[in-house]
Amino acid sequence: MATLVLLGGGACMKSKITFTLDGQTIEVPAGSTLLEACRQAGSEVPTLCHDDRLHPYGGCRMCLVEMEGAPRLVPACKTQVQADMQVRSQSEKLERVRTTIAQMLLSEHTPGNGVQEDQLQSYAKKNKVEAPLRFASSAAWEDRNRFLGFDPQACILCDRCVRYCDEVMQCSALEHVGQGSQARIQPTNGQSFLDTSCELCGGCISTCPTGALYEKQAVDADGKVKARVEQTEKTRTVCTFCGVGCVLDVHTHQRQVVKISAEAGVGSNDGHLCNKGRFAWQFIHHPDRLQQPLLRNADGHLQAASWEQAYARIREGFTRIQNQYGSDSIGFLASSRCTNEDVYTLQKLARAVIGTNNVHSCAAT
Amino acid sequence: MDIRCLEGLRGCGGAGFAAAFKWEAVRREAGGDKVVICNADEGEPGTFKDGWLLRHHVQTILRGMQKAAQHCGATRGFVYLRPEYQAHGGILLEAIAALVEEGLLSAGSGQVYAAQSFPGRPAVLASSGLSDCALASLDWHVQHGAQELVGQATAQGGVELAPPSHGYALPPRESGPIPPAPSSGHPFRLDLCWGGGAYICGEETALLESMEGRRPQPRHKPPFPTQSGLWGLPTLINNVETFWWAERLLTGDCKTPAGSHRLYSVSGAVQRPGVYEAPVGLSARALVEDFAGGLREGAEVSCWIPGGAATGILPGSLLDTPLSPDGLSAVGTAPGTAAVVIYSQPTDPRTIAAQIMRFFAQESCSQCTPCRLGCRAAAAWLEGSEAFPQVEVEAQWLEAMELGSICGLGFTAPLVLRQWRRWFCSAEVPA
Repeated sequence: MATLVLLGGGACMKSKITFTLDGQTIEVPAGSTLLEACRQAGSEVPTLCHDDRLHPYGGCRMCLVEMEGAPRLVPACKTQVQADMQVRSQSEKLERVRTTIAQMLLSEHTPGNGVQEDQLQSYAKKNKVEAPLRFASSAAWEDRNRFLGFDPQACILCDRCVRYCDEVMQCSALEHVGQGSQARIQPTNGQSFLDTSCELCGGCISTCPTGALYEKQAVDADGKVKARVEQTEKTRTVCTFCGVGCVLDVHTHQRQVVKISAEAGVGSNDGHLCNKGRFAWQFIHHPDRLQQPLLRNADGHLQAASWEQAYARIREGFTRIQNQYGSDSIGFLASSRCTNEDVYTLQKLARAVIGTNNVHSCAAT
Repeated sequence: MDIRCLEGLRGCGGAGFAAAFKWEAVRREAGGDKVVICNADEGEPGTFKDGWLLRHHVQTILRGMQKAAQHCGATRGFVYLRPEYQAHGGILLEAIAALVEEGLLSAGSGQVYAAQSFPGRPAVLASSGLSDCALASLDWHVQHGAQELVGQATAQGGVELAPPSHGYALPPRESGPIPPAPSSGHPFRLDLCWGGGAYICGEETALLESMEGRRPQPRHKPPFPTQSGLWGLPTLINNVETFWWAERLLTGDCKTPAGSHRLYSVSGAVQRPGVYEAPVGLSARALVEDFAGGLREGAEVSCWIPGGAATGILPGSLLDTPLSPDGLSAVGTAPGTAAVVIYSQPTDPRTIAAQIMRFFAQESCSQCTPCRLGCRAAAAWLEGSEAFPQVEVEAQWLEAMELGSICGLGFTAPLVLRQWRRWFCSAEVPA
C-alpha cells in the first residue's frame, strides 16, 4: 500500500517549473533539462553526443544555448531548468557557433560507409557546412569479429558507444584513450572485440550518431555496402528469439535482409537488443529453412504437405496414443521463445483437449 | 575563526578566485563530511613557485590547510601532487609526520595514494637532479622543443622518460574513524595523492575526476566543488601558494595586506631565474632588473609571457606594464600564475605562440569539440602546417572555443593566438 501511494503520488505530484525560453514563458516538469524543454516547446536544437538512454555528456557542444547570467554558452543536454531562467535556444550567434562546431567536427571526419545514418553529414548537408581544413584521419581498425564493424575515421569522439557499454551493458568493452589529436575510441586495451568483455549486443552501433560503428553483415566480403540505410525498406516486427518481445526493424533491400535495428523509445526494449536479436538472421535466407510442413510417406521420406494434412496427422497420432495409454501419457513442453499468450493456449490444449496437467515451460526454470 | 584578514587574497593557481569566499562557501555547507585539497599539480608552463614553496615552506602550507579544515569543518585532506615532483613527496610526508607528532593532524595521516591518468598517456618524466625552474616546464619544453629553456633543463641533469614509479591505490571513499588531533581538538586526516600527470589534472574538477578513478576530464559547473566535490562532498580546493599566504595572514606573520604581494616565477633570458616575492603591480622590467639580476648578457627581448603560457605573449615594448589584474587586462591578458618568462632575440614570437598552442592541443582532454579541434587547428595555423583561413572563419573558431568550451583550457587558449596577432602580426591572413 505504502509503495502504491509513493508511486502514485510521485507521478501525479511532479511539480512544474516555469522559465523563459526564446521570449515565451514555458512550464516544464521539475528536473527537466533545457534540451527536453526545447523539444517540448518545439525549438529544434541539434545534438550529436546525446542519447536519452544515457547520462547527459555535454561533449559535442552542438546543443549550446544562451543563458542569462552565464559567462558562456551552456549545453542544453546537461543543464537542468531552474525557475525563472532566461534562455535563448535560437539566435544568430548560436547558429554561428553551432555551424562552427560542425565545421570543427567535419575537419577530422570522413563520412561513414552508409550502413547507418551519418547525422553529422546530414546536418552539414542541410545547413551547407563545410570544413575549412582537413586533419589526417585516424588509422583504420581491423577486427576479426564477424558482427561489429568500426571505422575510426568516421568517429567524432562523442563517447556514446563507451557510455552505452558502461551504463547500459556494464561491459566496459570500449574505451576512450589518449588526449588531443591522439584521442580515440577503441575496444578496451586495443584488443579485438572478441578479447574484451563485449557481448556483441551491438548497442554501440545503435547509439553511434555517425555510423563509425556499423553492422559488418551489411557489407560484402569485398567491402561493398549491400545497401545504404536510406535505400532499405524497414519492416517493424517482434523478435521471436524469446518471450520478451523486443521490437525490431528489419531492413531489407530487394527482398533480402541487410540488417536489423531497434528504435530507442519504442517497445519494452527501448532500442536495446541482444546479439541474437540484432545479428542472428541468416536463417531467413538459408536454403535449408523449412517453408512448409513436411510429412513422412510410407517409405520414410519427407514430402511437402498442406497444413490441413499436417494437422490431421498430428490429431491422428495423439488420438491413437491417448486411446492406447491414457491422457497422462502425454506431456507438453513450451519453448521459452513462446509468448505468454502462446503458453496459455498450449496449457488450454493440454487440459481441455487432451485432458492432462502435464504442462511445463522451459522459461519457468 | 575570524578570516576577515583573508579578504583580498586571490587564489594563486591562475584563475584568481577570492579565497575567503570559497572557505565560507564550504563552511556553510551542511554535514560533517567535507574535504580540503591542496592543488600541487603545478603544470602551467613557466610556473615553479609551488615546487619551491613545497621544498622550503612545506609546514606553513600544511598548517594553512589545517586551519582551512578547521574553519570549514573538513575532516579529510589531500595534497594532490604533480608526479614529476618526486622529491617533494618525501618532503611532504616528513612534514605530515612532524605535524602528527606535534598534535595538529590526526593520527593515521600520511597515507599515499595515486590518482587516475589518461589511458595511453606516456610515462612521467624523470626529474632527478633538476631545479624547480627546469622541472616546472619539463613536459612542455621536452615535447615541444622550446629550446631556450630545454637547454637549462638538460644542462642540469638530463631528461628522460621514466615509468610511473608508484603502485599506489586510489584514495578510498571510506576513511574509518578519524581521531581528533590532540592540540587542535579537530579531527583532520591529511594524506598525499600523486596526480594523474596531465596538464588538465590541475583543473580542479578534472583533479577530482582523477582522484575518483576516472579519465581526468573536467566536470560541468555548477555544481561547484564547494557544493559537490570529491565523492560529492563539499570540497575546498586551493593552490599551494594560497594556503601559504592564508597561514601567514592568519598567524600575523605576513606584514603586507592580503593580495598585495605574490610569488613570481621568473625564467628565460634573465641572470638569476627563480622565485621572488614581489608587490603586485610591479612591472616585468622591475621584476627582472631588481630581483632576477637583469637580462642575460647581451640579450634583447623578443617577447615575454606575463603569467604562465595560458596568458599568451607580449612584446618587449610592454615590459613596463604593471603585472596587476588591471594593468594586464589593459593589454588583453591577466596575471595568471605570475610566471614571467622572457624570450630573447632571435626567438620568433610566432614559434613561442605555436609551441604554447601545440601544448594545449596535445593536453586537451578531448572531451569537448571546441578545445580538442580548435587548439589543434590554431596550432597548425601558427606552425604553418595549415594555411590560416579567412579572417571571419578564424574569428568564428576562436569565438566557439571561448564560448563553447567546458573548462578554462579551451576558453583561454584563443588568447595565445589573439595576443600574437595583436602585438606581432600585421597581415590579415598570415603566411
